[in-house]
Amino acid sequence: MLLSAARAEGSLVPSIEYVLLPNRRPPSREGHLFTDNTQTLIDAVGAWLTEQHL
Amino acid sequence: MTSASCPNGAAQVAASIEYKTIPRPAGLPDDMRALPSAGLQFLSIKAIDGFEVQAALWEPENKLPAATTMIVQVHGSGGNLASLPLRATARGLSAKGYAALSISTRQHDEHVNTDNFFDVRRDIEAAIATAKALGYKSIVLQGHSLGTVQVAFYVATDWDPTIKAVILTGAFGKLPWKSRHILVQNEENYQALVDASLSALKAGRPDEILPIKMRWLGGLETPVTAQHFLTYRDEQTSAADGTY
Repeated sequence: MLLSAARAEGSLVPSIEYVLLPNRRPPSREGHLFTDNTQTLIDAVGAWLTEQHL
Repeated sequence: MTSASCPNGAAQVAASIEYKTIPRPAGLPDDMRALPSAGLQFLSIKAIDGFEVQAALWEPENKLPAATTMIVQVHGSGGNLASLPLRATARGLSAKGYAALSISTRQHDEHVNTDNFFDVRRDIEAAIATAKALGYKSIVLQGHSLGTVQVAFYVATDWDPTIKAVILTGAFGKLPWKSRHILVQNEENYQALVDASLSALKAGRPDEILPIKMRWLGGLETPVTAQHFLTYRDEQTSAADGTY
């Protein structure tokens, strides 16, 4: 829903990237908080910031 | 013609945002410590309406703010400045040259489901103003879960060129739709919440806990205020829409 809205005609969003982080745990509160894949989250955010030249 | 409260020609301060350093708050997780090449301190920020926002300021060592990107972080429902997705990102990236300012908004911890969505904008505004006052000229807003709609609304309504990008973690689309069809899942209860919220608002009591609880995460029946329900959860009145 967020992606389609951001990419819809007339959207003001200049670009958007969706990154799915692997997690062996089924959907859960812990998964929502990145309990098992914290380092993956840090690496993904860091890589994206670098891509954006930030 | 002048009044005593407004001397002719003298500028007056109508409202302000202020910040100061404070001691480390009690009860933070053990890993809420900076890595060797970074520093961590704590701030109290007074938002423009007087609300005190506590914040964690993570900064890389030996790097000027003007040459550093600052990530302003907003937690999810009932979270705070130490929520895992925030502190992990701030801790890890502050050792890699990024700064972070993680805030506890007015819906932190036990204040969950009591706030007015539009008021949280002031907490984010206070954090952005503080980051800029500290010398940062490149800001990225990060929201987690409920914080995603708060940061999305902020950037949609404030085209500050200092804000370069937005990061949403644990995001959803339209919170009112999710609240009605995934959380509450009971049309009778949902309509009762709408009616009770509107009654409380009309009675001038938007910040009082409703007599009816709201089914929430994990099926938990939770207290909720009229202002929270109307500004976040009601499909007719909510602005908490990530696709805004």
